This record gives sequence, C-alpha cells and structure tokens, in this order.
Amino acid sequence: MGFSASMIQRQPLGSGGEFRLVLRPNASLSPGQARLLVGLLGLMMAVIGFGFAAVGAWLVLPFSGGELLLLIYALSCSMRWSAAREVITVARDSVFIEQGPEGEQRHRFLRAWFRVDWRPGPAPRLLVGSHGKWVEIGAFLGEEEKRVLAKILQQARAMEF
Amino acid sequence: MATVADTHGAEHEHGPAKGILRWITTTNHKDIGTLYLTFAMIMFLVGGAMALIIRAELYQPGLQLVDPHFFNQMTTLHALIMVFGAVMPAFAGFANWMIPPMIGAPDMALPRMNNWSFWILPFAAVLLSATLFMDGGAIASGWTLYPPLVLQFGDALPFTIFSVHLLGISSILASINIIVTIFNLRAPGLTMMKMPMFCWTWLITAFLLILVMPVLAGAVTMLLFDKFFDTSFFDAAGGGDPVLFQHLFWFFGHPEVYIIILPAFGIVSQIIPTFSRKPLFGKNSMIFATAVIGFLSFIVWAHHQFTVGMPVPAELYFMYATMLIAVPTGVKVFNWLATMWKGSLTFETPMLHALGFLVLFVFGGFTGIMMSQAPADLYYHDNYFIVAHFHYTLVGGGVFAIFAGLFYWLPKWTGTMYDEKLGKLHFWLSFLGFNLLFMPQHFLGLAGMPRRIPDYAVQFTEFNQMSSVGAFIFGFTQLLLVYIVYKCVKGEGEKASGEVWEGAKSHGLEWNLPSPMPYHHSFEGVDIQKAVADE
Repeated sequence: MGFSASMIQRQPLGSGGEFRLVLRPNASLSPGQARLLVGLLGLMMAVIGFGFAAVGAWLVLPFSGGELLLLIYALSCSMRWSAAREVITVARDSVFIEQGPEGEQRHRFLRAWFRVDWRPGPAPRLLVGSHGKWVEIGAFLGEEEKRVLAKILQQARAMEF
Repeated sequence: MATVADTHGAEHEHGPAKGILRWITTTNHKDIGTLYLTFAMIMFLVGGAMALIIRAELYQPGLQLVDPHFFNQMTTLHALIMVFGAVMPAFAGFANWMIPPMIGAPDMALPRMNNWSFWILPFAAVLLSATLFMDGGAIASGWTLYPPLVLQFGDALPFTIFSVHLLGISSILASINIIVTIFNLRAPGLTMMKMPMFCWTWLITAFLLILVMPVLAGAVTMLLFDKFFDTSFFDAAGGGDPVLFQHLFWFFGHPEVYIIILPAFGIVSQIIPTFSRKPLFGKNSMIFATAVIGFLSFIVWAHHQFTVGMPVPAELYFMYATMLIAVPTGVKVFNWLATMWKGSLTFETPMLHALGFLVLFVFGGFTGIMMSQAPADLYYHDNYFIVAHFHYTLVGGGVFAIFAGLFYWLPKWTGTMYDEKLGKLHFWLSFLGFNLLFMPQHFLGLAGMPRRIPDYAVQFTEFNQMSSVGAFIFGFTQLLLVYIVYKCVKGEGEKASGEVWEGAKSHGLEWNLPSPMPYHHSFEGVDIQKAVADE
C-alpha cells in the first residue's frame, strides 16, 4: 500500500481511548530549507547583478531583484499551502475539528450523531458533520489517504470509551 | 495514490472542460504540456521554413530569390524563433508532462502561474513574427542583437525587444514553477539523489534560466534606452562601450546553450537505460557532472568574443576554462556508453534518436573543443564552421533528444503506440538529411566561406548544394513527424500498456500509471517508496 503515515498522524490522548488525528499535506521542503534556497539564489543573483552594475550595466539589477521577489512569492504560496493543518480530536462525547495553520476554524460535533460522508468522483471528497452541518476534511489528501481517514472516523463513531 | 497536496484538483470534478476554453483556462499540467509541445511544433515549422528560404537562396551563388536585407532578417528570426519559440518550449512541454508524475506529485506547484507562463508565449511569437511586416522589415542583426548595428533598425527594434522580454518572462515563470515543484512536492521517500535524471537536469536548467534571464533583460533594455532615451550604455561616442553588450549577451547566451542541452541530457538519460535494460551507470556522477557543466557555463562566456580583442591572460583563462567543459561532458558520454555496455539492447525509435543524439552531440562537442583554442578560433570565427558546430550541438543534440523524448513518452500520453515503421523512417531520413545538411558546412567554413551572407564565391557551390538538398530532406521529413503524432493522438494504432516499454517500471515512477495517464493522475495502489527504491 502506498500510504505514507506522515500525512495522517494518530496521537493517543490519555488512557481512555480518546485520540487526535493530525492531517497535513505533503511538503518536501522545510521553511529553513526554503530560506536557504532563497538565500543562495539571492546571493548568486546579487553577485551577477552588482558585478555588472560595477561595470556600468546597472539595469540588470532591477530585473534580478524583481525575479527574486517573484521566486519568494511563489515559494511562500507553495509553503503556505504546505502549512495547512487539520486536527481532528475524537473525545468521549464530541468530535472537534480544527482547520488552518493555527486552528482558526473550529467545529464541534456530538460523537453519537457524527456522520462520515464519502462523495466519489474523479476527485473524491470526504465530509463529516451532523444535523445538516457538514465540513470537508483532508481536501489536500490523496484518495487513498482519504479512504483510510474515513475508515478511522467510521470506527471512532462506534468506539466504546 | 496522490501522496501530496493536489493544489487545484478539488475544483475539477469531471475531467477536462470541453471546447477552446479548456485550453485557454486550463491549469492542468498535462494540458499545458500539450500546449507547449504543440506551440513548439508550430514554431519549429515556421523557423524551419525560414531556414529553407536561407538554404534555397544559398543553393547557388548569386542572388536568386531574396534580397540581402531579407536574407539577414531570415537568419535573425530563424535563430530567435528556433531557440525561444521551438526548442525551449518543447523542453518546457516535456517538463510539464513528466516532472509531476516522475516525482509523485499530482500537478505543478503553481498551476495558475503555469497557465500564464504558457499563454505569454503565443503573443510574444506573434509580435516577433509580425516585425517582418513592419516598415523596414524585421531586425537583421543576427540573434546576438549587437549594437551599434541593431540600433540602426526602425520600428522592429522595440517590438523585438518587447517580445524578447515576454519570452524571458515566460521562461522565468516556468523555471520558478519547476524549482518550487521539485523542492516542495516530491513524494515522501523520494530524496533528491533518488530523483530521475530528467528532473535533475531540468532543475539545474531552471537555476541557469533564473540567473541569466535578468542579464538578457537588462541588456536589451539598455539597447532600448540607447535608442530612445539618449543614454550611452553601448555608444562609445557618449562614453559607453559596445563590447559591454557582447559581455552581457554572452553571459546570458552561453548558459542558454546549456539551457537547451541539459534537458536533452535528461531525456537521453531516461531512454538509454530503458532500451539497454540496465540501470543508468554512475547516476550520482551524472548528477554532479550536470551541476559542474551548469557552473562552468557561467565562467566561459568570452570564448564567443576571442576575435573582439582581449588581453592575452583573459584569452588564456577563457580558453582553458572552456576546455574544462569537456571533462564533465566526457563523464556523461562515458556513462551513457557504460550503460549500454553488455546491455540487452533493442533499437526502437526512441533509442535510435537517443543514439543519433549521442553521435551528433559528440561530433559537435569535438568541433567545440577545436574552437575553444583561441588562436584557431580567430580563423573559425564567423564562418560556416561555427554554423555547423552549433547546429550539431543544438539540433543534433537538442532537437534529436526532443524527437527521442517524443517517441518515448507519446504512447504514455496518448495510450496509443505510434507507427514504429514510420518512426524509424523519420529517424533515418532526419539523421541522413541532417548530416547532408550540416557536414559540408564544416568544409565550407574551413575553406573560408563567411556566415550570414546570401551570395558566395563559386568554389563553394557544390558543398552548398549538398547542404541545401540535405536541408529540404530534413525539413520535409518533419511533416512525417507531424503525421505520426497526429495518427497517435487520433488513436490509430495499437493500444499501449501502462508500462509501454519492457521493464520500464524499474526506470521511473511514471510507468506505474496507466496509458494514457488519467487527467488527474494518482498513484493509488502504488507503493511509491518501494517503486523509488527499485529504481
């Protein structure tokens, strides 16, 4: 099976069977590595740009600078996406869902009424909710990870604490 | 299984949209790869038609078909269109199609930017081609755009410079996307050193592009300033220096040669192991050799300027530094040969083109070593020997690798096997036509025929006639390629399996996907880490 545990991490909470799932998209570049990449490229661009400026061709510099800014913007967009986090906490009575890097969006569902909805298609979606309120989870996961996640949550509904 | 974030797939529920809007608004890497390749093919035919005008005029001495000014417009536009409109977009097409599946990613990291980087291209190409119809015609200075000659052209100059800017922006956007994709979207377990050679060569190419494009942009903008804002960057009368432009241009122009050839190395490094049924020999040394070639490309630019005049120590430095390039290039050639050594070789069309690449590129490399010698270069410079040399490297190397990659991955893209008989016919006609076209040009150059002239002394007639016949054979053979691709896209042929080539799964992740690759591919059911380890 091609599932990589790094995208869905299960953390037990205490000894009562409660647990937490941390979902995150794959990202092979850490923020530190991204800074190193920008730094190295910036250094090389600066050497070339200032080198030509020193012999009178200063118009290279604004193009180098503009390009570096574009690279930083592109990397930050990709890194921002990579920083997405979803934390699903399965407790005795409730299921809590926190979405966003800092858990900005919070949802609470009663565990007894909690439902898992698998919507198939070319890009299948996984929704959870109850009482007419539905939240998509793991949108950044691949199909197989979504299936694994759906199975874990289905089992969580029926768990005895 | 998609092991990484699908940055756009959630919006698409039902595969591709229908009609023309699919192609205008698409953010799918496969669609954009197809757009790049189609555009490259069209521009290859346009640039090729210009080459045929040049060769038709040169069939015999005297002026027969075109006037000298138009002839020089053709040589200039042929080069600009082939470099920026055909070869570079073709490699960008391969990158779009193949890098995401090769690294286990669902798409490029920045899909909307990907759409932009393609759609800038057609506008730039139309703008550049439209200069032919402007007052005074297109610029006729040669693709190097040297001042003060280039500043003498009229309306075409600002439009040409604007189109060069647009082409540069397109390349930069594509490069940034490739860098971000490779660094941030690799599947878990796919470390940098496990990454396929094609991705490695493209990564280094993207770095080269990012570093040199601002230099070209700055240089052509300074031309514009000199022409319209009374500056004197390159005007000696105002305290400027026309040779400064040459340094700027070749600081871009020499790495540009590697920008064209490195992805070609990557394609050939994928193909030779598949048809040798062996892993690539010395992969780590191949990666380091590619990086060294990339580095050396920044410190050898002035070998294009030996005849301009420079201090002897500078000539010596640029001569020795240039000769150094033969070392990492030799490592690569040795490794390709060692990969084939005692392999179970078969010679399907992609392999024939890869071998054609090897023979022609090595030949072009040897003539390159000849020209790295500063004293000898004083003679070779600006004659047909250099024309033959760079066509052996850029067409024999770059374009033959594009043919090889096209035949190699076409069944994977379309799900249909191309016509092998026609494929082989295309190879042999191209190979023979190419050699008939450019081999005699070595002798013309050595005999003293200058480049960029529409007329010549009668003693050069026979070799020129051979060259022109070769040009028409090579040129019209490409219509056969269009037909082969058309048949394949229409689904006329045997259905291709997912693996396509025997044992290909052990040479890359992409062969684990079905043929044709689904619009939104996923590696469901594939153990990526195991597949990568096998590789």
